[in-house]
Amino acid sequence: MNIFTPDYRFTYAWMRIFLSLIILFSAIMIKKAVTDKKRRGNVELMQWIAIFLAVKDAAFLFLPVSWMHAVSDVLTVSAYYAFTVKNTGEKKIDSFYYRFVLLFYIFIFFYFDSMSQITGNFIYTAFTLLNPLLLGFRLFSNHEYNEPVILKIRIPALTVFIIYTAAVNIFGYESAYINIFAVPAVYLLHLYLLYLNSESEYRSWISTISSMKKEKVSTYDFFKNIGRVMLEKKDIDEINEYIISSISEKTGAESGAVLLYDDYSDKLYISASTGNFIFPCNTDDKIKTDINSFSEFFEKERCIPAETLLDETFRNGSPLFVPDFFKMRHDPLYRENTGNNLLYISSIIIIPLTIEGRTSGMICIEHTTPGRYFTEETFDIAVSLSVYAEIMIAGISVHRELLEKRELDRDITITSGIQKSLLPSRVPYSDKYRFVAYSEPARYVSGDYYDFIKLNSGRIAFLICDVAGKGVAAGLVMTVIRTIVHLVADEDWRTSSVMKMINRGILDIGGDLFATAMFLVFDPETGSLEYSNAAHLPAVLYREASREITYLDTEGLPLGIDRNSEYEWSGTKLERGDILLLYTDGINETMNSEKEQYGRERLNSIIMENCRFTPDEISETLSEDINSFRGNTPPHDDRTFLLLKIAKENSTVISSKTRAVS
Amino acid sequence: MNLITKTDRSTRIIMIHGDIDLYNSQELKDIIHNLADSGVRSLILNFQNVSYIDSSGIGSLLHIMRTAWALKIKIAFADITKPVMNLIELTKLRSFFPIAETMEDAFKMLEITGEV
Repeated sequence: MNIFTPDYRFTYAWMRIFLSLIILFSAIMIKKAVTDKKRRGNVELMQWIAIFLAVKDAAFLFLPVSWMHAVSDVLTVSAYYAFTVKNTGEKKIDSFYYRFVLLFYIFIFFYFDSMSQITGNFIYTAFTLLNPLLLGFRLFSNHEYNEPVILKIRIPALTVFIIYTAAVNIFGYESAYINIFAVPAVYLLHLYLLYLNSESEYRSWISTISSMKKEKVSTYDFFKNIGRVMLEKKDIDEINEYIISSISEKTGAESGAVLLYDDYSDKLYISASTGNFIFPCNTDDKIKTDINSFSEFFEKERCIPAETLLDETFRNGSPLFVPDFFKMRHDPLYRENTGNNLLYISSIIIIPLTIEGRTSGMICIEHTTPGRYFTEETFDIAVSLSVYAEIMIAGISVHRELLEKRELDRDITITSGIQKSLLPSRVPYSDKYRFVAYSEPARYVSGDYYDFIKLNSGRIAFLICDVAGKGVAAGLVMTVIRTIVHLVADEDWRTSSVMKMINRGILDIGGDLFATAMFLVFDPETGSLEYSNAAHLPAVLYREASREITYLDTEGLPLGIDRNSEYEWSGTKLERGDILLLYTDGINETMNSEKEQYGRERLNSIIMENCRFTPDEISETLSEDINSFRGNTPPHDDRTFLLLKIAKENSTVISSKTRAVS
Repeated sequence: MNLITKTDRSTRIIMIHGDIDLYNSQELKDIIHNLADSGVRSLILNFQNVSYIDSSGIGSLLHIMRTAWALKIKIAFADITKPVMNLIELTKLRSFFPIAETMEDAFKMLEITGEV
């Protein structure tokens, strides 16, 4: 036997081998490009079919028997059957069909020859026709899902197989019609299936790329818009509204909310929501059934009740994904929202937000229509978007802090400006006495103020004060104090009365503003000193005669606290060589690197040790000592002191150097 | 500064942790504003964990107290540490502030005060 003889059977066999090789080649090419596992499986199946068909026809050249075609045809249909099973998402093997095919092979190999021709042919025809019909039944029956490729292939596949089988049964494998028309149709079907797989691969690529592009654009938009929203100094609720609507849009959620935890009430509040957000809870029947009461309730209620699903999840701290609420109906946290009423929730995703290392809120999205569920994929998207939300909310709080800091710095600058303009440029002195003023503002804080007023009687009124607070209001307090002191000092008011007037004057300025102050009037002629204290640090008085330190103080609240505050006054007489020191708490509270305070004892001992020197020298020693104590530690408050020394003899209060300057 | 909030016997208790100074005085003042909305009628501030307060901090306490008076919220300061007490004494506000030695005293104080 020569396989190259002009026997048509062999010519057709060669043709089929050629067609099989084309399919094999296409399958190999397409397989390289396909990444999806399922589609790759489909292409591989087609590859094996092509190899099988080529081998079969090659074998036919040496052993030309018809049943070979019959067996391979049944096998091809079985391969399509397997393909259908794989692409309709059913895992269990259809044992009926495979038993049927097995029976066919047993029949062909063992019984076909032993039967009479009519019976054998009848059974053979029945089998071969039943086979594509069973495939058709499988292709068109309802399944969990159908891959698009099934929907496209089922009509052509069924048509081709039925017509082909029928034709083969009528004309036989040797017929020219069969080989010229029917056989290529089957091969075309294989090619078409390959094409469908490569096309769906291509489509999925296109959609992946476009969704990546979209994702890129939307992430970019997300951040760009948030930047804009932040610049507009919008409310945190408005920013959260933006966050939740973006997340709902991307996850396809029907409704959602950003919830924030409130420290003070220890509860979660809805900061922003989209859709008709329902938080899992129990309500009375009216809300469950009446749409108006329902919307009114959920629009008004912003606080999440305790011991509900959201509250518990927040305290638990880890994300929660409930694909199907109904499955959880036996759990009391879920039960109320699984019934056939307005509270129905089908699926929920809850993700706690961690901001600056602390669980501070949650993002919650949900479906409220029966049959709509979130998938694992949606959950993953929601988790990754929540990370963006965390970054944004943390960014906002940092931004807010910076703004507040800047505002605070600006306030302090205002106060320092006012303070500078109010401090006197000259210090009173004569041969009998000399004042020295020292004031060193801290970098940020300012509020120390002092003043001297020469009265017509020759007396000198002076005051030291420390305003707590900052900004325009603190500056205003200083200005009011200065105005009142300058206006009334010259009258015959007691120092305590002046204090009372200042107190009334600054009382209405601001809620947290107050000042400690000491107001004194000194008569250089007699050495008499009258003073009134509004909770300022007691004045230090060094008595030359006894070489002792005493303190000058009177009772009274700080200024600006109580409208009815009463102040007292007291008096003493300054003798030759006495030293009076007034200072603000920035002096004694000056800290070194060990966080130790300078302290009043050290202050006193500096005065004692240097009492014989001129006030300028004492002042210099004192300020140097404070600064060397402080070292490199930045000052945390203004440091101000006023020093008054009464001359021992006419020459000792003023050093020759200072005299030359003044 | 950190604020930790608890509620006991329908009284809001705020434990203050850390220093109170110019930079967080606003946050402290917000306590009373937040309370105003919540419907709680009495407040105890606990200073057990405060070792430093500056004059702005004293200002904030004054503000809290004044606002509490205006809102008819009963208020007490409890467990004040020595350094904080020193400044309160220096500014002569000891008798002005509603100071209680311990938390129990603070609760008693709120009961006795009745309607303020």
